[in-house]
Amino acid sequence: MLYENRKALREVCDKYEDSHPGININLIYRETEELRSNFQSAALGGSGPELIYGPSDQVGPFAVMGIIKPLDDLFPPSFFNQFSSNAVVQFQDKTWMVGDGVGNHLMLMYNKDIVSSPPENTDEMIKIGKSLTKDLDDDGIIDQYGLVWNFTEPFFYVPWIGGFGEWFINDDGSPNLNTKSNENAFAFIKSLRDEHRIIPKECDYETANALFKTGRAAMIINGDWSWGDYRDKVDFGIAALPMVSSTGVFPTPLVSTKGYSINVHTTSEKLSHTIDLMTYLTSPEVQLHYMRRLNVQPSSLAALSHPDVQANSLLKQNAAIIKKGRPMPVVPELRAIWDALRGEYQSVLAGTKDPHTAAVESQRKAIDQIKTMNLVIEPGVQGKFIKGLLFLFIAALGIIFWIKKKIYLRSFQENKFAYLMLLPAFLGIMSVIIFPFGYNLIISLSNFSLRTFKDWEIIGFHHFASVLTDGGFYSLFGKTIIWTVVNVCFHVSLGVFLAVMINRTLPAKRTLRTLLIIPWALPQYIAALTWRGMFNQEYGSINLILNKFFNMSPIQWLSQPVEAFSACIITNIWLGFPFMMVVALGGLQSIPKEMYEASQVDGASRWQQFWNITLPMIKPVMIPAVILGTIWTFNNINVVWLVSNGGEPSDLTHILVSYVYKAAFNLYRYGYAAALSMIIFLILSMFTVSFMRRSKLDAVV
Amino acid sequence: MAGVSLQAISKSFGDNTILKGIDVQAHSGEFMVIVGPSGCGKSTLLRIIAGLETPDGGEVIIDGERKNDTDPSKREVAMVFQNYALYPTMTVYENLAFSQRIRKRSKDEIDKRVMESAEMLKIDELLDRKPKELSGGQRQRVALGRALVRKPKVFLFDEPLSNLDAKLRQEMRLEIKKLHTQLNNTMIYVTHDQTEAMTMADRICLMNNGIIEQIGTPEELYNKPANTFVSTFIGMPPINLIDGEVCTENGSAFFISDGVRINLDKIKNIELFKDLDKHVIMGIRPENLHDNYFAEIKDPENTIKCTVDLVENLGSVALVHSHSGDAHLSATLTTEKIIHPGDSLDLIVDVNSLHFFHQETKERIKL
Amino acid sequence: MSKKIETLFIFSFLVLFTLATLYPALNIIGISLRTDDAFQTRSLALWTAESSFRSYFTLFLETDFLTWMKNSFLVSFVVTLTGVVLASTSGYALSRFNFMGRRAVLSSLLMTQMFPATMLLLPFFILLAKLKLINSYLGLIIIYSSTALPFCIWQMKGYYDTIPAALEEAARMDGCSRFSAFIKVILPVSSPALVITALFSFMASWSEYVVAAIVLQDPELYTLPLGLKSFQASLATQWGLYAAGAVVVSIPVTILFISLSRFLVSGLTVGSVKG
Ligand SMILES: Nc1ncnc2c1ncn2[C@@H]1O[C@H](COP(=O)(O)OP(=O)(O)OP(=O)(O)O)[C@@H](O)[C@H]1O
Ligand SMILES: [Mg+2]
Repeated sequence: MLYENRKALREVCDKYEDSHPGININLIYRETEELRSNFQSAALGGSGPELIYGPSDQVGPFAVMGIIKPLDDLFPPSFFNQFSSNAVVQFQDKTWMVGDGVGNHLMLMYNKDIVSSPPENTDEMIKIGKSLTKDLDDDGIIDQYGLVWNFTEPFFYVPWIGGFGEWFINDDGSPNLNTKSNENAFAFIKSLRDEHRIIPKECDYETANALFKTGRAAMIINGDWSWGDYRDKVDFGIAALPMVSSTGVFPTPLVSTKGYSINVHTTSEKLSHTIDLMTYLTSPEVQLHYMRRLNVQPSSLAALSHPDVQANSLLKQNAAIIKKGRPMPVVPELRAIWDALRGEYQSVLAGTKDPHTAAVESQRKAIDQIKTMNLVIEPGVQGKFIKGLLFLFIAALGIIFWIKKKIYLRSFQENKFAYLMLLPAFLGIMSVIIFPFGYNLIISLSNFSLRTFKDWEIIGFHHFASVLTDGGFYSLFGKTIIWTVVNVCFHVSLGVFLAVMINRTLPAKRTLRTLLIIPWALPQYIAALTWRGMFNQEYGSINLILNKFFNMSPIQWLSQPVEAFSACIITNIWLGFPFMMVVALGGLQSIPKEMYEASQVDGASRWQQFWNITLPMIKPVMIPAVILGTIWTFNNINVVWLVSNGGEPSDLTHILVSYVYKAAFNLYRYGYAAALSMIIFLILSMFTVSFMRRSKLDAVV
Repeated sequence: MAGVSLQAISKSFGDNTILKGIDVQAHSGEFMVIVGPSGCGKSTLLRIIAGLETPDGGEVIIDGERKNDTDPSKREVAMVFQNYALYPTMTVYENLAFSQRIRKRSKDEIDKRVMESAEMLKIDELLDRKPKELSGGQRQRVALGRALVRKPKVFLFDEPLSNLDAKLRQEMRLEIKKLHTQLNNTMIYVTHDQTEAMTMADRICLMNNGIIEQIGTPEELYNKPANTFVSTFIGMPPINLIDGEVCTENGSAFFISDGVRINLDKIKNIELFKDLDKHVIMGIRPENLHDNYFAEIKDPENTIKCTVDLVENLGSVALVHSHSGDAHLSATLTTEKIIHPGDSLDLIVDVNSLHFFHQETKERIKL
Repeated sequence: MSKKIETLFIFSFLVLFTLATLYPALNIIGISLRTDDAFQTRSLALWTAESSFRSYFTLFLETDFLTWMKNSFLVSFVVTLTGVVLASTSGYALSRFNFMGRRAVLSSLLMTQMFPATMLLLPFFILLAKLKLINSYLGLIIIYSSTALPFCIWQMKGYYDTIPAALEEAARMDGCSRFSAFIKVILPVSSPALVITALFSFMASWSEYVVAAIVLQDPELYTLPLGLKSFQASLATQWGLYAAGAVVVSIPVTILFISLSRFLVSGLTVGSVKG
């Protein structure tokens, strides 16, 4: 939600508060993805805000989970009748959301200073695009693009499928991706980039936005939400996405609404206020305010017929564009379809799959994912058995405790002081780590998922089995090992190397040491996002430097699997070496000078000194650090998630933990994700125990 | 002043029984040295007195009161640690004053006490320094001073001199001894160095493997070692022990082993041998062997003919290692006559200084 | 002579390496000085003709940045304090006492690092909701202090292991109780490790986003990372503002780190093995 929109919302809320003394409206802003996962967690905990405002596609999952209330009983039918049908979101014959505006749809926007009239069809678009994609200063780098948009995202892609004839989803929510239209659309986008070269090689939303805003792109495909942002910067016009020349059909942007739903956990005393507030927030008065401030297309029929709306030419054009669109599906399956499509589409763009295979594959994957997403495993005998086992286990613990209580009591009395010193920390860790761990253990044995959000049951080791029999797990595991080994090797060798260098008499030794620690000091997410920016194919400093100083052609860091994974690794190496350096420095300080002097007398070379004195002497200090470093790296989700933007391209840059995150929060497979994390935990425990045994470090404990 | 009495103290760490029923008393004002080989449990015993370890069984009585369950801070006992354990963040003055500050003494009193001890130990120059700016000997003095300030009933020392060089050690030995005569406190001093034990102790308690081998004055332990262990541990260079048997020939008693034959007629209670089995261990200290060459009265019956293996010159005397048959004998001889390895040497035995021990029990045979 | 050349060589290498290392940090400073739209640029220069401190003015004058900063300082301060108190006491118990369950505690501390933290979020939330700690600093502080704790305890324990036990025994002989020996003698000696523990606790809370996002809902209570993230709306990030915010968020940790870096080497005892 744009900052401006948020401000506008706050304004109308303030107004409401003024006229309703005693009522306080708390606005909590979360980004779309987080809104979803946080509200899910909140609802599970039995809390959360009363009203949820968000895009219509979240209705499906929320309704299935049973965490929002159907609105039909709360409002009179006349209430719903005052809105255009787009804005009253229905799912499974019930109404779940009412929108305060219609739109969120894609269109073609053009910079009037560069393009005089928008292209009617794609041929024209390519022609205009070609003439406007220019290298102004002849340095081999394009300075102005004909067209830019965040073309790698399915939402920004699917309108074209419609343009080629068929639609990507059937009315029953099943995917329809194995179609000629999909294939053609794949090929079309690829040709825009590779053949006609009117769009940049890598172009995420931010890049597209910045290029258009600064006049470095003639046209952009973007949604109505961006108008506010462009208004003062570009003299832009809007048009429908150009008709596909080969079919004569207009692309079909997804039209949705953003609207309000009500939390099931809304207490009865708050419910009436909530309903009142929602009525206010969707009222024509408020919608007109938005319209005037932000050019939002109203959903209220009364507002639509208001003279101000009638007089607004932008909205008029917009209404025509909306007519070409199709409503955004609200079924929860949509997410699985997006996910399958995104992966295959990115493979086509990366050149690793041809459009036909990708179309077939995306359909298959979508069906698979929908199946797993909707899968409800009934608790069978195994479930009962496991339940019994868990019960027995707890009982056994209790009995053992009872039998040994004398010993425990004595130990307690002997070491009362130690136990008291330990107690507060123990309670903290117990509640914050051990409890969640136990909770996860139970979840991992349960059928907790989208369709059993509130009534999950223990089913047994089903998820463990499905993790371990899935080939995908092993390739992820392999990647995770590469990730960990490469990172830790670099961390350690770089850290030790630098430590040895710095540990000699050097000018400005302290300053150097201090400066080298800075990557450790920077907050990880800031560093990771900065690096992502630096890896941008065209504007990132890395390619610019490689080009300028080494004359290398730009590397597609973020859209090719191997490169993207390397980008994550490079970032993480940068983040992690200072820690090892500091540990190594600590180790080096404990080596007495005499040892080097003695070996010098013996005629040892530098290299021999390093191998025979330095390394063995710092080994005891490095090994625990290596163990910790390995665990941390193995479980480091931040870098992979942020640098590769959640596994792009095609989910090929995931490591185990980032996949856990995806499974849990994107695909609602909590049980599966919990089982996977238990397996990660076991892998790391085994590694640690065996590593400690081998390096004879049990003694540490 | 206060005595310390330990009764049937036992202590185990896990399955290792470290102390096996220790009974020992340090009388009021006594300087008692606990000595024994490394790992025998001396420190553990001392720490039990201090209250740093709780005994598994037995009684710790200080000044007539049972103190088993008293916290170390309340025992009125001071301890000097082997590695000094000075508080690194405090100056010498603060180190000394610490115990008094804990007890909330007045500033003047603290000052008085600290200065008193500092002067006594000649560390009044060092009061503003941090421990790491001190030499080993100075640290040792500070550690002593910290105990002195307390004016405790009992002083405990755990190998306080073992980190010092030989010369300094000797100096500090005297100093501590002097302190003892000045203060006349009960002091219990742990060491594994028999010289320290011999020179400092009023009484020595010799431990081995968690039991007490012998308690007594230094003279008692030297002259009447209770068993072979005591005899070897006390006395430097160590005693020669020779396995052999006692026989009677022609009415005379002899100690015989391979290479050694000694007439025992001069020993008064020769009867004692007769009741016993005849295999014995004979002990003779190096200082009780003499070169026949210098002897005024030759005694061929008690001369052992040896071959010299090695000579260690100690200045005024030489320690001569030699053998005769299976028996190895070391002797401290004057350096007047120069002896070389390979020389043959006749050693006269002073029969009255011989010690005999049971072969089986290793116990002393009372003569 | 050759030694001098070698030193010079190593020195220049290190300087180059350090500059390369610092580049990403400088890069973000550069972005913060540009306007929102100039962030996609091909210039490598950090300061261009268009650069200005405008984003910083906006940040401090037009957003709630100062409130967030105050909140973050408050939370981080309490977390640091709790972290240091808890880690120093429990690390001490683990280093000095051989009580029943000690080994189990030590290994489970290590184990806690092995579980993917993302999966802890849902249970966290449920727990906090049950305890009515949602939208309160208390909940946040409990979670922050406890998540940083295992490492900090290990760290403190490692440091205590290097301090001879005779030290507190001497103190006890001098009349201290166990606790006062710990406070008066051991803690002062452990200051490098305490500083490091404090630093880690501070870092763990200062720049944490994910947990803060589920616990804090009232914008009045937002901490810096939450505030920062709000500049980064899904389809319209205010890059200049975001970068400026990121720079300002990074400054306190970086300053802390730099000023404490001499303790890092002596106080970080991940590796110290009881000899
Ligand atoms: N806390 C402990 N836990 C387990 N075993 C211990 C402990 N303290 C001492 N021991 C063991 O008890 C035995 C006796 O230790 P103690 O320190 O009393 O010996 P010592 O006679 O003082 O030796 P040294 O002359 O070397 O100081 C040793 O074998 C030691 O390993
Ligand atoms: Mg000892």
